[in-house]
Amino acid sequence: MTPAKRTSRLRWHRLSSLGERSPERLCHLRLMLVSLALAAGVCGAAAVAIDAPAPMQSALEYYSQGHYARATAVVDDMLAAPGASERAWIIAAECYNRQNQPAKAIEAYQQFLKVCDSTPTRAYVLDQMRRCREAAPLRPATLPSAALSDQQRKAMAAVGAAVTKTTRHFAVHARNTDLATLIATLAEESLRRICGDIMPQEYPHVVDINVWIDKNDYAANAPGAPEWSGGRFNLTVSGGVVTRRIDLTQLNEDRTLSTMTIDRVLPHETCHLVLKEYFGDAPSPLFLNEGLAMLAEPAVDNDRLLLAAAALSGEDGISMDKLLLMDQSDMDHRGTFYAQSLSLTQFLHSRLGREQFSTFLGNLKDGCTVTDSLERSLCMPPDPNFLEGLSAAWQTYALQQGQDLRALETASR
Amino acid sequence: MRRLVFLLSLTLAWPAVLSADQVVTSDGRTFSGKVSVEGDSVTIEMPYGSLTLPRSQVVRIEIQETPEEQLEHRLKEIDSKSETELLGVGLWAVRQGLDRQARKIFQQVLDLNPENVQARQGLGYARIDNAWVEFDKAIELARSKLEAGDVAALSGRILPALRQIARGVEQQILVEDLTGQTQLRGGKFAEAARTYAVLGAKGKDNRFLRFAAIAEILAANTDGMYVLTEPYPPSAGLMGRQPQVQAGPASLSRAIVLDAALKDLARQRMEAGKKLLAEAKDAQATNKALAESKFAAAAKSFEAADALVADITRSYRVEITRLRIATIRQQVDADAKRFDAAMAALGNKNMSRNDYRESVMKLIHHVNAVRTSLTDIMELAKPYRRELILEIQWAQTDLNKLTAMRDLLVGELDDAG
Repeated sequence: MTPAKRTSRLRWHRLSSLGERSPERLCHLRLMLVSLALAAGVCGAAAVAIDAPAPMQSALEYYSQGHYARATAVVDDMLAAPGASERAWIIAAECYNRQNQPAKAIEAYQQFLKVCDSTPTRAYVLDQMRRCREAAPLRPATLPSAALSDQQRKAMAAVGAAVTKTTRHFAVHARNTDLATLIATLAEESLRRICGDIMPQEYPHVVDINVWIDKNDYAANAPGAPEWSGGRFNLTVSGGVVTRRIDLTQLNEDRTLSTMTIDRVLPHETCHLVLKEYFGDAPSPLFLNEGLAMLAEPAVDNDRLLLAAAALSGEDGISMDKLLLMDQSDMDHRGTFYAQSLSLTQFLHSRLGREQFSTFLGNLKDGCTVTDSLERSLCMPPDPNFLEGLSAAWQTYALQQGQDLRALETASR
Repeated sequence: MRRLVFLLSLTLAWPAVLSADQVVTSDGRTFSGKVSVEGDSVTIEMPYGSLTLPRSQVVRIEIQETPEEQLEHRLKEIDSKSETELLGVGLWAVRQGLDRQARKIFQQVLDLNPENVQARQGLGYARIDNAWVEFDKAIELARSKLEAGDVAALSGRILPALRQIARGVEQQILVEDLTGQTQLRGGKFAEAARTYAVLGAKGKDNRFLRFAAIAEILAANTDGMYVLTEPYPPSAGLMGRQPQVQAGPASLSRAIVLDAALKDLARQRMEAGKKLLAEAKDAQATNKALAESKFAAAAKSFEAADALVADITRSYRVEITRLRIATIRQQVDADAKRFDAAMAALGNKNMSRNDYRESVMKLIHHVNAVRTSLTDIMELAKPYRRELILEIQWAQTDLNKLTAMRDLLVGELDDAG
């Protein structure tokens, strides 16, 4: 709707609503009349103590109290008046947004943008508009292997001639054409998730993905990889040439297709590679490295979240201050470490939001501790009780998540 | 004002010191000040210095009655049982700057009439809720009323009363700040902007920078609406607490919204500091002087941000200090290498006593250089004891070792002498 059309609609709305004589609207009218009278100096001498609130202020008051319809009505009246401040559009936009009317909210945000004279405010409004556009309900994530038929799985377990499938960011070398194609597609999806949602950045590189036939083939061609691992990433610089490489396995020990490879290992190792490139020589906390890699998987592993909740509610849990500093030499309870790392990373990512999480990673890259990085990304002064408060908030989050997941499990049974 | 003029003949015996204030000389000039006469000299102490004249050049000295003496006369002339007359003298004493005496007189007025408004005000009492309270208490009550939203009482009665009893700049600033807050709470944004602009121009420390920043925020949002780009306080979301203000439009009549706006302004200044800090870090390896000037500029931006939100840039200031310490440590390492080289030369040569003595003196010189650097580190790190504890302890340990070494070398020097 154009502003002109909207203004005429608002005028009509205002006139028609006068006929309704609802107490709410009469109240607005009274406020406006009092304000106008004060402005005209009618009550000038009497206005010793406080003036009646200006319409903008009463709209803000309604908005802050959650009376969105009332706030919008006041704004409508204001905007219909000649010479009205177009800044009031943002109140209407926020009201529509909170009333789950994204289309109207976007329209109002756009009107506000025309008079916005502040860079941070403009960035905020654009972000709100983006959120409104993305307001469509999300589909529950599923694992890629779940979409494969038995026939496809069998076909992808076949070992044939070496093939290479290339996409924008990946060159997949495998012994099965369908599998190479699938892995290339999934690798692009993973990268989009990692560089789009988890840690926004450009990734103008090409990665070689080698899919080795089985564990023995993998061990022979990916030297130095831990025996237990089903995949690994590698970033090497030699003679000024950077090589990015991921090694995977095609088959399980029973010669069936390794769904673990496509569901978990591929996105996990891709994320590690991106993280390694991002942090460079700067140390990155292990919990975050592993947590982000698990978060990059297309569907979060609920068993791990349940384990984290159980560990935190009992005595087996790793305390937050310990978790933040753990490295490979501290791996006494690998399962708990991974579970809690996922839980804490997911907590930080969801609570901070994309922008702040990105700033948090940037601060870590600059060499700050986790606590400093968080405080910096929140733009707050150092607080000696910050870590304690954060630990308590995470624990509450993890336990609540555990309860929700158990309830879901019970319901699905 | 009554003035007694004494014409004193130079032949009279003068007291050693006179509380007089004007000396008229034979050439017609007049000097004002505290006069003392000693022998054949007359000295006039003036605010900018003293002047001594021969007695022969002085025609006369006019002695003015001091305010204290005038007060004494006034008190003698009035009826001490008259509330009005006593009050008049008390008010006169205030105008003369005789605060201590004025308080005594006001107290006498209150003995005659405990409800005398001017005497109460003179003694620093304001009437709030039918009770007389002193300034500090009155300010506290006013703050509570502001929190309770009683803007009418504040702007109508309390602030004018506080303005009456505010003594000195500090108290006046407190009252004006409270006035600004009341204007904001009452939605009088233009008035509040003026109040804070005036307050902001009164000084240069953090408090005044904050006042100026409030004026700046109000000037940019004349309708009193501020758009928060994130919930406030910023940690609420992470900690799972309900924010006090959600992101979006909000009224600056709420104190918490003003805090959020100040934080945003502080962030802008912090971002400027961060940019300078990054430039300083880039320059550190190649151009130390440029790096140092960028560090200083960054520190200034951070200070400006901290004026609005206390310690908001502390971690950046710690980072600057850490980088500076690292630079000093490089210097320390270079000095230590020079010391080692001098030490090695000392062991290898078959030296004369004088050469040996000179070498030991060089060693002490190197030790002194390192000690100075370590002391600099300790000084730099002192404000950030919690964050830089390792740097402090490291420097302290090295300093202790060097002090022991220096003592040894000085002893050697004594033996060699």
